[in-house]
Parts: sequence; structure tokens; C-alpha cells
Amino acid sequence: MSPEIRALLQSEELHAPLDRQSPLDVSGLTVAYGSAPAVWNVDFKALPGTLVAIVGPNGAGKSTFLKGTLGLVPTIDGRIGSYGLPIPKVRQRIAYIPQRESVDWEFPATAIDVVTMGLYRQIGWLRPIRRRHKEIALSALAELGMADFADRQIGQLSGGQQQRVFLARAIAQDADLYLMDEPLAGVDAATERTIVALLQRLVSSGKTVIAVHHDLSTVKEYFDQALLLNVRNIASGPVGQALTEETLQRAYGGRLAPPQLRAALG
Amino acid sequence: MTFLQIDLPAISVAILAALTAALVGNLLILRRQALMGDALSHMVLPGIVAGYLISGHPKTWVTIACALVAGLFGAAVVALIRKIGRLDMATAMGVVLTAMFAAGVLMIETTGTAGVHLDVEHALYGSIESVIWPHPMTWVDILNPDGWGHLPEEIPFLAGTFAILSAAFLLTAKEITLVTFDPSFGITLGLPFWVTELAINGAVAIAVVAAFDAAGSILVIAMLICPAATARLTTNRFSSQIWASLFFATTAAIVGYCLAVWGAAALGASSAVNAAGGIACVAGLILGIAAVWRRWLQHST
Repeated sequence: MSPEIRALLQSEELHAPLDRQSPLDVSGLTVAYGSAPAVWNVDFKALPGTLVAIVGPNGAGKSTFLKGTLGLVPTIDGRIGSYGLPIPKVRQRIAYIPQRESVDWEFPATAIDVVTMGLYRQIGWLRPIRRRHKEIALSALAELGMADFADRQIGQLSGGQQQRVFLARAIAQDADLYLMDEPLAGVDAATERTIVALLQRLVSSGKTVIAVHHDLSTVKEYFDQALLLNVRNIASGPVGQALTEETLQRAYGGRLAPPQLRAALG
Repeated sequence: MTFLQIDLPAISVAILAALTAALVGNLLILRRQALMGDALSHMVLPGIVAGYLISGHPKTWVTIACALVAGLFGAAVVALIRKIGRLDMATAMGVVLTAMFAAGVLMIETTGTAGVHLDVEHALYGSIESVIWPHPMTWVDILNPDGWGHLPEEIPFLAGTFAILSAAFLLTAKEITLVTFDPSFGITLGLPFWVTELAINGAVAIAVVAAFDAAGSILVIAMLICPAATARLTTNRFSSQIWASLFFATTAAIVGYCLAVWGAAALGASSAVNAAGGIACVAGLILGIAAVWRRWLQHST
């Protein structure tokens, strides 16, 4: 694509200006691995102070959508804004919880080390970690009931405890937008309740949480908004409107069994 | 009294080379790229030859700089092949290290630099035993600054490299932890992938080039991997990991040298065995003991 055409495609005449209010304003996001598109021309605008679920079948591009917005995978096209600015200018306001697989659980880091990473931008690159940073990290751990495990190596914690540590890291970061890749995957019921309560508290204080969610039966209970994805944006909006029998069957290619469908529609 | 003139400088070089390699070895072990050290020690060859051609001497800052450029270039090509070709790390390294090593050999053959310093035996075993410091006659002489000017060049050179790398390590320990433990989180915090990748591989390349010349590739590769791997088996803390690796490196250098020089004779060998080989064997032995010890710990709890 020539630079002129690229400039024209991204110019203001073809696109509305980035929404200053929206924590995540995505238009035309396209990501491909090799020649197969993983995310195709997805538009999505999050409303501030909402809890948003990204839902869809395996391989629908849910994680890729999050990674594409954050620049973790190369995008082919798309304009991504957060509070009216491009992502590199608002990194301080965005907290990301990656998928479990992208973390090295064997690494010699303790729970408090991991939470302190949420403060790295605040501490500054190449600057030392001070006692007050450790204290902020410890209070974030305490908020998730993990203060007693502060000095435990991260790999020696259970799946639910690890997820709490990552949430504590996001809390310590004190962001306005939280992007989470399956925060409820592989956690026990008690941890799930703790995490959901915390997310709802974040949202009620005006923050925005966008989370990849795999359990259709709890979407309506936990979330306000949904983005139903299968490479394309199948439907998005308030959960009640986005998840209907028609849209779900379209996203899942008619593979949903009636009980699953009933559970999803609540 | 040959100890002060021959063994002390040799042990010093062995310890400094071991410390330098072990320090950056932590980066390789923690990033699960142990073979990157092996690859880098081959990829720097065209740089060393180019540096020699420019400066006319194998041990200069020009050579180091050229080797570093070659190492960084190789590391960048490996990263590029991984990204674009979607190949795994080992394949990408294998392709680049053989191509660059072959290029280095070609450069040696076509430019007539062969035999100067780059012969196989020297490259493998190094020349720890040939380091001598004729100045001190008694232990007190070591403290006399008049003799420092005659220190074998390997000692200040390796000490300087180790000091610089240690300072860099202290300064970036926080960033190293971040990009190794959770690289995608590092990117979302605005730490660019290419910068950290080049910085880490650059540090490894510097250590490899600096230690390689004095100590040879057997010792360097053993010290890149064994002390850090041993430390990994004995601790779950980042800072203790680093300190433990330096401790194991020093122990292996001292014990390995003593065994090679005096142990072999005590066992009836007619002459001392190669010191670099002795040190590498001891480092491997310590790693083995640590592995057995850890298994035993896991079984007994």
C-alpha cells in the first residue's frame, strides 16, 4: 500500500475523530497470522464505567483483539484510541493481564515482585524500587487476601492465587482501563467471586474493565456489555441486546447445544 | 616461588572469566535460551576477524567492538527469522550461527589471517596457563603499585568488563525481571521489545568476546550455563540467583584450576591437565550435585 493511500485511509475525512470519552475506541482492526485473518475489520467502542465481556468460540480472535489493540501483535489495519489518544500516549492509564501461557511461572519472582511490576512506570525506568513501592504492592495484595503469600514464589501458588496476584498487579497500577485475557480461567469458585466483586467495584468507581470470558452461562450475571466476536464483530452492546439466540448461533456457527444457549440467554 | 608468578595470575583470569560469563549466563538460563551463548560465541567470529584486519592486533577495543556488532547483528537476524519465518528459536539460531561462523572462516582463509591467533586449539582451550605476572617475588609485592603496570593485560581487561556488566546488571535488574517473566506486560508498559532484546544479547556478546580470548570457548560455554543453572536449582529469589551463580562460578574456577594443575600430578599424571577443561568439568559436577540434592529434597518433603 502506498503511503498516500495509507494516509488517506487514516485521514479524518474517512474516520470520525477518536472519542475522547471512550476508554477504548477501535475501528477497522484487522490482524492476520500468516494469510489467515484472525480479526477482521472489527469496530468497537467501550463506554466508560462498564464491565465488558469479549465472548466467542475458540479461535474467534478474542485474545488477538486485545493484543492487537495494545500493539502486542502486528496489525494490518485499524485505528485504536483510548480517551481520544493513540495507545502509546496513554500506557499509564491501561493495565493488562495477559493469558496464563505468556508468563514464565518458573521465574524466580515472588508474589510481591510481580505486583511491584505494576508500579514500574511510576517508579521510572532504570530507577530503584523503594520501600514505599513495596508498601503499595503489599496493600494491593492485601486487597485480594494475598498478603500472607507475598514472599511465595509465583509458580508455587495455586491457579486462583496466581490470578489474584495478577489482579493485585493491575490494581497497584491504578489504571483507568483494564484489559484482561481470561481472568477467570482455571480459578476456584471462591476466587471467581472475589475477582468479580473486585471488577464490579472498579467499574462502580468509574473505571472500565474489558475481559475475555469463556463461560457463556455467567456473562449476563457478571457483565454490563458484551462484544460477541468470531473474527468479525458479530454483535456488541448491552449484554441483553448483544447476546440473542440469533447472534449466538451466528457466532458459534450453530454449534451451541440448547442447554448452553438457554444458559447464555439467562 | 612460581605460585605468585604463574598460578595466581592464571587463577585470577579463570575467576574473572568465569564471573563474567556466569553473570550473563543468568540472562540465558532465565530466558530459556541457554544455547544462545553457544550461538553468539560462533557468530562473533566474522567480527573478530574484521576487527583484526582493521587494527592488526587480536586483543583491542576495535576487535571487541567489531565482535559486538557481529553478535548483535546475529542476534537481530535470529529474532527476525523467528518473527517473519515463524521458526522456533533453536532452528533460527542453528541457521544463523553456521552461516556466520562459515563467513568468519572464509574471511580468515581469504585474507591470510590464519594462524595468527585464531587456531582451533587456542580457541577451544584458551590460554589461561600462559598468563604470567613476573613482577611479584613475595606476597607483599602484590600490593606494590609499581608492579601493577606489568599485570598481564587479560586481568584489567576482564576485570573492567565484569565491572561494567555488573553495573549494567544492577541498573537494569528490574527491567530484566519484567521482560523475562512477562514480556507482553513489559510491552504494554512501553518497554520496546527490540531495545531489551538487543541490550540483553549485547551484554551476552560482550561477555563472550571478553572471556573467550583469555579462557577459550570450552570454559566460556560451561560458565555461561553451569553456574546459573546450578543457582536455578538452589533458589527461588532473583537476587540470590545472581549471587549464587557468581559463587558457583568462583568455586568452579578455583577448584577446577587446582585439580587440573596439582590434582592430576597427585594422581600420577606426568604433567598437569588443561585448566579450562578442569574448570568446565568441576562446573558440570557442581551442577550434577545440585540436581541430585534438589531431587533428594523433593523426595524427603
